[in-house]
Amino acid sequence: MAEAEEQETGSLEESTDESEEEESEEEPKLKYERLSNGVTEILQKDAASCMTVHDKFLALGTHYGKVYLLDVQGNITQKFDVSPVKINQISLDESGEHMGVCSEDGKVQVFGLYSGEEFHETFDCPIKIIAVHPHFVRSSCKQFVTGGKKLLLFERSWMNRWKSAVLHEGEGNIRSVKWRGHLIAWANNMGVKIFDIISKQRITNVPRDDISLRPDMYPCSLCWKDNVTLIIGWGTSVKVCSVKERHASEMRDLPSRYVEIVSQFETEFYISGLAPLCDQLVVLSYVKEISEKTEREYCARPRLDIIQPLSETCEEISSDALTVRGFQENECRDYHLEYSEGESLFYIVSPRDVVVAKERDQDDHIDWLLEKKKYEEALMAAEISQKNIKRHKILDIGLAYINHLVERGDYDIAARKCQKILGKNAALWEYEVYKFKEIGQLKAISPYLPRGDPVLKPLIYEMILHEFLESDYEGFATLIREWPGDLYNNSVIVQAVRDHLKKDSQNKTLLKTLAELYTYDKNYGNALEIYLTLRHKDVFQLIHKHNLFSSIKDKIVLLMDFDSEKAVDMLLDNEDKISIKKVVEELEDRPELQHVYLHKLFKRDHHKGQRYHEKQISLYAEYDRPNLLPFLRDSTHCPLEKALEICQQRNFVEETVYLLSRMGNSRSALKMIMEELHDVDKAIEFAKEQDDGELWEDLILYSIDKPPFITGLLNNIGTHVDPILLIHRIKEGMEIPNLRDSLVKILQDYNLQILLREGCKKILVADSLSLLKKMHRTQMKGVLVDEENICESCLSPILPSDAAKPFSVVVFHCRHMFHKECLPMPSMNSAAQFCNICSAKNRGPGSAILEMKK
Amino acid sequence: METIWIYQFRLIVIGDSTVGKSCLLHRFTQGRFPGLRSPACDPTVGVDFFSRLLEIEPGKRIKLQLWDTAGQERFRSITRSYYRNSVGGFLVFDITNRRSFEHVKDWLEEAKMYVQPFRIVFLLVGHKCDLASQRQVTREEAEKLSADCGMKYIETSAKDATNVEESFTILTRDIYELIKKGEICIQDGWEGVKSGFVPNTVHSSEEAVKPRKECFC
Repeated sequence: MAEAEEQETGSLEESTDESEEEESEEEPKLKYERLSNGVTEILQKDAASCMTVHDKFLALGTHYGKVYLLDVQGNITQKFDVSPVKINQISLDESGEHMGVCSEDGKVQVFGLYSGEEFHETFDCPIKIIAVHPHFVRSSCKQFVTGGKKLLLFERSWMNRWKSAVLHEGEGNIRSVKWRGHLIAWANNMGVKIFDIISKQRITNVPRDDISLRPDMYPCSLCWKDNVTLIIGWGTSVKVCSVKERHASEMRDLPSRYVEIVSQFETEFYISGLAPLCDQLVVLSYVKEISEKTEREYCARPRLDIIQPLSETCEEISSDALTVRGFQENECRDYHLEYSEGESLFYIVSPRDVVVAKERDQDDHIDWLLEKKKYEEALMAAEISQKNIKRHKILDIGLAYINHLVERGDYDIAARKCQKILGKNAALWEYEVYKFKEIGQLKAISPYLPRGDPVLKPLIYEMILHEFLESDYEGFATLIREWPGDLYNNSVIVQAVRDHLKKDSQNKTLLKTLAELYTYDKNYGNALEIYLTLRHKDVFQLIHKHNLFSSIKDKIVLLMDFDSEKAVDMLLDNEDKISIKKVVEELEDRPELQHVYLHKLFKRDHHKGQRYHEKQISLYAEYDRPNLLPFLRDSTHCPLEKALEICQQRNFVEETVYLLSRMGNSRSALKMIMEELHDVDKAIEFAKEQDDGELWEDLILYSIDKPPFITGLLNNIGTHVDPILLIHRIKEGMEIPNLRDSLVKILQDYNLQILLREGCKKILVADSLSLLKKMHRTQMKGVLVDEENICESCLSPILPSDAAKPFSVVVFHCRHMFHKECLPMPSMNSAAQFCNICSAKNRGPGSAILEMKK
Repeated sequence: METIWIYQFRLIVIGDSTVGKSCLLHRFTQGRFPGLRSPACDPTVGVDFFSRLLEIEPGKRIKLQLWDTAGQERFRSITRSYYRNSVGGFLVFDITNRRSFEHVKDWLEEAKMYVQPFRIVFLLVGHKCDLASQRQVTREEAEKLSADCGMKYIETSAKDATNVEESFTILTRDIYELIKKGEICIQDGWEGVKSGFVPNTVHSSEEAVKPRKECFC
């Protein structure tokens, strides 16, 4: 017997592979693993008939009537020899301490796994179902249901005796049962019923849809999603039922709870098992297909689908066909789907195989991404869930990614990724560089090489530089510029560059790079030489940076020739290192450069170059006339005679005029303006500047026979000289252009002045009048005299204490009051009397005169 | 209380698919031939079992637990486990189906192999004897085979109930005799034969008896 069994399983093993996923781009939702260890051993000789999952262990029933307790890895922890024939169902309470078992030969056992047997009975028909109370561990909940043709509820009475009651019968064999909370759901040939253990009432009957299916071959799958949601899978129909509390007003004689079918739909295949997964459903389906060759129906691999139930249909989320051992032999009823609520583990139980489906974790996700060559995403996923991944390492994924990119020929991307993936791992970097070298792609990786923290071996950098030197001078130059000079052995590279220059001595790129190398090497002399021959602008920077002034003393002309502006700036900035004298000497042969230098010098400081100012006059005259006059104006050191001589020689009128006026020779200057420049405005301007009557006289004299000059004078001199002087001198009969206009203008100016003065007068009179009125009004105000007031003279109250007594008071406009008798008697000659106090105040020096005037 | 029995025998019914094993049992346990549309006409898958009391002598009742097995080859491996715990068996062939007769020896050998070390008593049953016109196996052939194998032979028909009752009685009596002779004895861990309840030892009797009674639908 054993032999035969072994042969059979042996042949099944061959055609078995783990699990096969559909060829699709979509990632599977679950991963599959075969339950092995003890299970493999059991299923070699026996066949699984049912299984129940507890959080901590599994209970597996077999066709040979054994019940095995297994850990989650499939190792056997306990074995119960229940019956010689098939175990139909195993039921565990929530605590996992009590087990109910029923078998094909009518045996029913309920016992504590640790406390021994409690119930044992053999019935006269196969018992397909058993369900113990979920809280069987409590003494008040010692209940279980079981049954063959009818559903029996067993209860332990206070005498420790078991008492049974028929819950339901008469509709064929009971084939499924699931107890959850206070609700027991079962299925017989006609439909699914739910019994409420609290109210002891049956609350629903959900009839079977497809009655053409044999109930023993296509049993009903029941699962409680939660305490009030039952999912029924039967044939190809799924119903989601919700147990609801009936509203008190509708109660009458009806049970307090009722059931509503919230979702109902058909599936493609026959349902072998159901399990909830969040708000989705996991459905194990039995698939029959028609063979193309024989045209006979055969059993295909079962499928595990995740579906999203909608109210009248469902949406497939994922679908996997599972290659379980011996699937060809199985019937719909041979498959069971059990699940562990806590961990989202789904057990696909078939006679010869138990497969665990798990929700895929991040590691699995990465596995899949790697398999699909989605390295970038894998890397990202690994980075995001760095802490959660156990099997994968970011670095490994990264290296695989680089390899993949290299294989694909995306060298540049691969090189770029190196930076991120290899990070600071110098050893890995070196390894990668060699790899790139092998495939001749050193150039690709060069921009991404670390240039410090970490630093690789100099050899690596030199290798890359050589590679570039062979083929790409520009790239070579870029690297030399970008890489810090201490990454590689300078002399080696210098030598290499020199070798190349032998072949191509005028290559600017190479020369420049060589100069840079020299600079790194602090061999500034050589560097400078190259820069100068190349006329490279970096030269100034170089000189400046490395303070190379001593070495450029004899190269000033070169520098100036190259870029006089910058050169001069540099020379002037570093005047302390290269004396002005030295520069001027150096430039003696190149007066134009000398001029540039001295001009700048002068602009910066009018005095520093004073010894050269004389020389500068001629330089300016020669090369830069526009700046000559400003120079003459600003310089206090240049000899005027010499300047005058030069300017006269060259006939520089303006400069000459300036020089003449500066030398005090205003008249010559004016004469020059008039004679040489014929510019009356300038002449007038000049005369104004000098403000010398004689000059005006000269100007008038000179202008008198030149009508345009007269016009100019008439128009402008009004404020400086009386135009009458000029007009008198105009010779009769002389034609002067625009004389009339000029005269009209002069007269208009006068007219305007008269108008202005008259206006002023009017304003003055009006002001006086209004002020006078204001004063008058003020003086007309009344004056209060009461007890508070005192005589300013005797300082006693102004009003007498005895009101009946006659008295006289004098009040002045200044508010001072006096008893009449306290004032001096008015003299005959002065009619008006003044307040003594106010008069005294005004009596300063000369006040007497004022008083007299009044 | 009347249903107390002295022994329980577990009997199996084997034979090729479609020879009428389930119908035979149906006739015996329920007294009728299943209609064409009833589920009993579907091929048996796996195992079903029925039970019935049989009075072999006045006052001596034997409880028969009858296992109907699937004849189809693909379910064999599962049904084998049922041989071991059976004390007797009906080896059924269809007299209108020659092949089913030719397979009798195979069935016998298989059963003997799996039942070891226990003993199993067989009765060869030529079924469907109402269809005499379509007969392909003669009574003589069958009798010869049964004699060769040390079995009795009987021809039955579930449809018109010919010899159904008799066949069960014959097998039951034979086993009972063997027990009396001591050639078959009750053993622990073997469910082929069980001794019946002694009324005194039945605790409170009610629970134990009640479900059994009700299984006779």
